[in-house]
Order: sequence, then structure tokens, then C-alpha cells
Amino acid sequence: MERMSSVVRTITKVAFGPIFIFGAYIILHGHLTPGGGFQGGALIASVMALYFVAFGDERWKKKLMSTLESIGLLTFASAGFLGLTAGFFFFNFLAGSKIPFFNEQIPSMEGFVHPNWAPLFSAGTVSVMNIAVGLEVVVGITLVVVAMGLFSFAGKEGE
Amino acid sequence: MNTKWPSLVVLVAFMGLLAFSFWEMRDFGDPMDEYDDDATTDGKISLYDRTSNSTIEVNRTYMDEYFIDHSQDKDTSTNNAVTAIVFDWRGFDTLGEATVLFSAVCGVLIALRTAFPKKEGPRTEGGEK
Repeated sequence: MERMSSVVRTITKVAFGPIFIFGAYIILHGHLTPGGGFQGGALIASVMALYFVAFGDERWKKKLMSTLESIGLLTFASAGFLGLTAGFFFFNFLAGSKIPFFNEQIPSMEGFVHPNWAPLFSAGTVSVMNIAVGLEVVVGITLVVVAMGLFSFAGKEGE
Repeated sequence: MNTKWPSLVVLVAFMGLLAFSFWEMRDFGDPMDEYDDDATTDGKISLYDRTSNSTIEVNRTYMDEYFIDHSQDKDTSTNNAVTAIVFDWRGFDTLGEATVLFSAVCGVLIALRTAFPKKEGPRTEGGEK
């Protein structure tokens, strides 16, 4: 594919990092602030689409990305099924448990100045599912955009 | 014969149903309106409370208040109550959403499978042509 003008490429180089970091922030803080896996994943996928449009890069590792998407969905589903070990389906078995993985508690509200404070490694399976969904959305939407772009360009090339 | 009247009848019936359900809605910000004195369930439902590890009785339409009260404690310890509902209490629904996205991506990739080049390097030939 053709790449776009140097203005677009320069702006893409400048904007890629901050938008990517912001998307990662939205995903990782999904259990603390508004947002979550779907929203942050859409952000990172949009910056991937920007990169694709600006540079016209064709070297996308389709197999690796498909594998990552499957891993995202499987992590989500297995986090739901692992709740069966502690009770029932989609039971949040990590939150408040002794397993040292996203198990921190939110301090009680008494005497707290800021009511919205919470540790990052809290919320148990909610955080795990956020990251899994974020991975799936990033890779999935990027794959869709890249496939559509490459396909439309291939049609033009043949004429 | 005009063929438009059956759709008109369906439309009017559907609008009537919508208007009926609209009149049955409770007032804005009033969770207990019209449901307070339910004889069959006594206005109470039982929910599993993980903090005390027992079943607690809550008022029937106080589900939202249960979410607000319990999203931050040992139940989920999630600060964002919306995320707690979407990914924990309604996690099965979100699993369906993720599956929908997965199958949509699979469908696009199957339909446009000729778009990606076969090997590394420049594409020699586009698509099936």
C-alpha cells in the first residue's frame, strides 16, 4: 500500500505513543475509573489503524495476532470457569482471597479523605477479564481494519 | 387491495404496547413506587452476601442499592461499580459480547482471507486475480 504524505507520517509518529499509553491506561484502570477493556482496546486499535493508514505497512503478523485474540477470549472464559472451583460460574474467586494476584482490598471509607481511592491490584477476576477483553479487542479490530484495507488495495491493484 | 394496512395494525399495536409499558414505569428516582406492597414476594428477595457469607434479605427493587453498597467490599472489591456489574455480576453477558466480537473478526478474516500476503515481503499478486 502507498504511504501517506510526510505531514501525516510525522503526526502519526508524534501521536502514536501518547494514544497507545492512554489506551493501556484505560484498560489497566478499568476497575478503578470509567472505561474498561472494550473502550481502551478500541483506543489502541484506532491508533493501530492510524499507523496502518499513514505508513501503509503490509508486514502484519496475522498468525500471531489471531493467536493473541484466541488467548484473550480463552483467558476470559477460563477466568469465568475457574469461579466454579470456589462456588459458582463467574464467581470472583480472586477478590479478597489469599491468592496474591489482584487480591488487594479497598480500604474502608471511615476517615478517608478521597472516596475514590483504590489500589491498582484489586478487583480479582474483573481486572483479569479487563486485560483479556482489551487484548482481544485490540487485536481483533486491528485485524479487521488491516484486512479491509489490504483487500480494497488489492482490488485496486488488479484493475 | 392495499397491502399497507397489516403493517399499520402491527405498528399501532406495538406503539400501544410501548405506551402501556411507559405508563407502568415507576417515577424517576423512585425505586419503591408501585412495587412496595407486593403480596407474593413480600417485597423482599434474598441475595447471597459474600461479606457475611450468608443469605440476606433486601427489598425487592433495591438491587441497584445493593450494587452500590457491595461493589467495593469483599464481594468484588472493585471501585468502579459499572465494571463490577459488567464483568462480575453480569460476566456471562460480557462473555457473550466477547464471543460476538470474536466471531465477527473470524467472519471478516474468512471472507477477506486473500487480503493478507502469503509470505513475508512484498506481495506479488493481489487477491484471486
